[in-house]
Amino acid sequence: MNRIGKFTLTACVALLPAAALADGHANKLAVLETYSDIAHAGYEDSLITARTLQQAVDALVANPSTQTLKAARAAWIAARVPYQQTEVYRFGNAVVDDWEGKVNAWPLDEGLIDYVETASYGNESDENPIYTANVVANTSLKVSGSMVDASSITKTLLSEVLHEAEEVEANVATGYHAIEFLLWGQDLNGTGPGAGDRPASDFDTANCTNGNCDRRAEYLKAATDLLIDDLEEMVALWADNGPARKGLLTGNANAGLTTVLTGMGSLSYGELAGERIKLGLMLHDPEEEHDCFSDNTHYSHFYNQVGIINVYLGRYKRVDGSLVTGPSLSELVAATDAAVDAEMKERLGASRVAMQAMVDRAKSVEAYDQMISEGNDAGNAVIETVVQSLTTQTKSIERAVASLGLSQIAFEGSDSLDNPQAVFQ
Amino acid sequence: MKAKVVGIGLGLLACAVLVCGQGTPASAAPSMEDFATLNDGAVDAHLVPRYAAFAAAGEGLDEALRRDCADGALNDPASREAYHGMTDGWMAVQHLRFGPSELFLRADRVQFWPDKRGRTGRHLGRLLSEADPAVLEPDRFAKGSVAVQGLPALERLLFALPMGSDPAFACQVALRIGANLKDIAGGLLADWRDGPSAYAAVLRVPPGGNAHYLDAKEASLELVKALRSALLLVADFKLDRPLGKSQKAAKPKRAESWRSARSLRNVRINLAAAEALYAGGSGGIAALVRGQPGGSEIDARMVAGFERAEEKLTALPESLMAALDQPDGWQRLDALRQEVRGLLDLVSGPMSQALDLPLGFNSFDGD
Repeated sequence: MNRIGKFTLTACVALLPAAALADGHANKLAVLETYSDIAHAGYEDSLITARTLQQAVDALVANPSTQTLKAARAAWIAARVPYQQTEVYRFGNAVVDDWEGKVNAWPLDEGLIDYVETASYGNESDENPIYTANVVANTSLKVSGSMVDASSITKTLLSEVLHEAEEVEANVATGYHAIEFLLWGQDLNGTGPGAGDRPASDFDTANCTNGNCDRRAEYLKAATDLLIDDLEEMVALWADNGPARKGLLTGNANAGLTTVLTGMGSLSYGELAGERIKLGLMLHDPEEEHDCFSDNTHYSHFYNQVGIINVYLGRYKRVDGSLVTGPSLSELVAATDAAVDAEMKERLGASRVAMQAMVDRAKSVEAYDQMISEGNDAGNAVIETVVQSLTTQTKSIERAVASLGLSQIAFEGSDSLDNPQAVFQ
Repeated sequence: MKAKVVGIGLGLLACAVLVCGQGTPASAAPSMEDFATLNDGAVDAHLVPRYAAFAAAGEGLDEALRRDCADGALNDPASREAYHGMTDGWMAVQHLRFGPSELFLRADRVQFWPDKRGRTGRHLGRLLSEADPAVLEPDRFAKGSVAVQGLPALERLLFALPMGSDPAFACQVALRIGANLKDIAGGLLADWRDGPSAYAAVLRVPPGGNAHYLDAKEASLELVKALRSALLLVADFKLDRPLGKSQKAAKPKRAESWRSARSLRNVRINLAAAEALYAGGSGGIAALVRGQPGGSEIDARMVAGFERAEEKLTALPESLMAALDQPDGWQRLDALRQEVRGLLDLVSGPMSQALDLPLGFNSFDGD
């Protein structure tokens, strides 16, 4: 199939005036180059801010206090800003999607990691045999039928043994949300005000609260170190000769553009509008919140949308304030169909405005988990507007796919999922 | 956490684009009139009759539950029958995730599923144990958690009532669910059929387009996406999730409607609806496909695929759990899965290419 595809493509090329082809191809490549540059800068910013988080975690562990805990939480929130902007790279780029689960898996059964309030969390789950395994408190535990030595909490234990153990996706032992849980603890306020409120003394071996403070600190350090390793890997993939960049720039340019638009559309619709936002709204359940321990969800969603806009406009503002810019997908769409480009810009902007209203409300009136609560018509309406605007912008993304004459955007189960290289051959 | 989105068949399509310019395939694509005919036929023969049947089932369900609860407990077999009728009706429109079914989250209210985090059990358990009648006030209930509003919650009340529940209160909850479902089903039909802004008229796009669709072709795309959704729901959610990659990895409680032992009855109705949507009438999707170069072969494969899937289903019981208990049960279900997967790949690839309808995104793309 791939061989035939390649052969046919070569045959087709011969039929075209050389100049026209070279020109169009160059434009598309330039757009893909900007896209790769923004990816690299975004992951590098994620790494830089994660290193700041690592220093704050080290300071917390060395000297647990309200101040050092507060500083670590602030560093985590800052680290989310660039990372959430990179999520638009996840769908469509198989290398990112395969890796993403280690870094941003959600939602999690946090009872795997540490103590939980069982009155609200429960003691057991039909889906997850290690729902309350509590690694922090147990030096040995049973996973998939065999005993595991957890006397030392290492990066390997977290990533190789516990993460997605028992083939249950909610067993999230690594990444931003595991760290978030250790820094904040459970949010026990339901749809009332307030986030998680773990005391700094949970890490204080001299005046330990809730037991096993040494092991809790060990876990936090290991998870943070692992996050750095994982981000380093992703930065390298998008560097000058990195395989993610090379795959896009040396492959079929239309396939590359399909990847870009796939990322924008799938994040907008199925993931953000659907799984992360609408689900919580229609269940009115505070546990259906992306950053449920820290109550940072409004910003996580907002920066997802900023990331989608970055990719379309070919423009990313780095954490140090500098700009990464270049030829954009917007220009390419405008050259084909100016109306589609104008509609897209308008709708991307409208979603950003809807997201901003959600952020403003979170900062001044009530937290995200309160906005989705039952009977809160005003709060529900703010979130509903976000869902609607994301759904509407997805339609424009589909129109851009059609106007660029790209292949259809398909889904799970095709050969290309299991063999991503096949797409680019 | 796995990728759900990838492009396929790029080489060939890119070729077509290069030869003929932007967006036009090498063959003569269907004309705008062809698409308009397809939309008309689907509205009249597929969409409105199915929503009418679903609304009628809603009336029946509401009535049956009222009669049953007259003695303060759910014990009349007619209630279960009415539940089956309502579920049959839903399975025939489950794939239509656009227009009126997206309004007010109606599809999610009728059936919140798959429920990967066990919200139905938890929310219904809380509702029953708190037994607060104020929650059942119609408007409040209709805006509350979708997990207790629809068919999965009703199924638990009728087939697996949680231990220790007060039968009288459980009856009140069932009554409220029945009335709510009747309202939703009636609203769906009205929004499709009645008045100048009926969605039937929206889908019959006038020249120059309307607020929803740029032209008739975009509305046809919606219909082909619905065909894809029907096959995707069956392949990914109804078969893949419970079957797993091996017999050992099977998780039967992930099956849809397992408490009422009708998981495969659902699949049969879904596939029949998909087949009917595909076959259409004289100007349906199948006719349009056959009119394209190479289309006859695609159509023959579609027809054969539906036939084989139906044969395999006919030999299996209505309950997926019971099927799994049979010797070679898993293997036979796996074979059914392959057939549906084959149809899905045909629709997503060659068929949508032949019709020049790139399928775009769907609401199942998230994790």
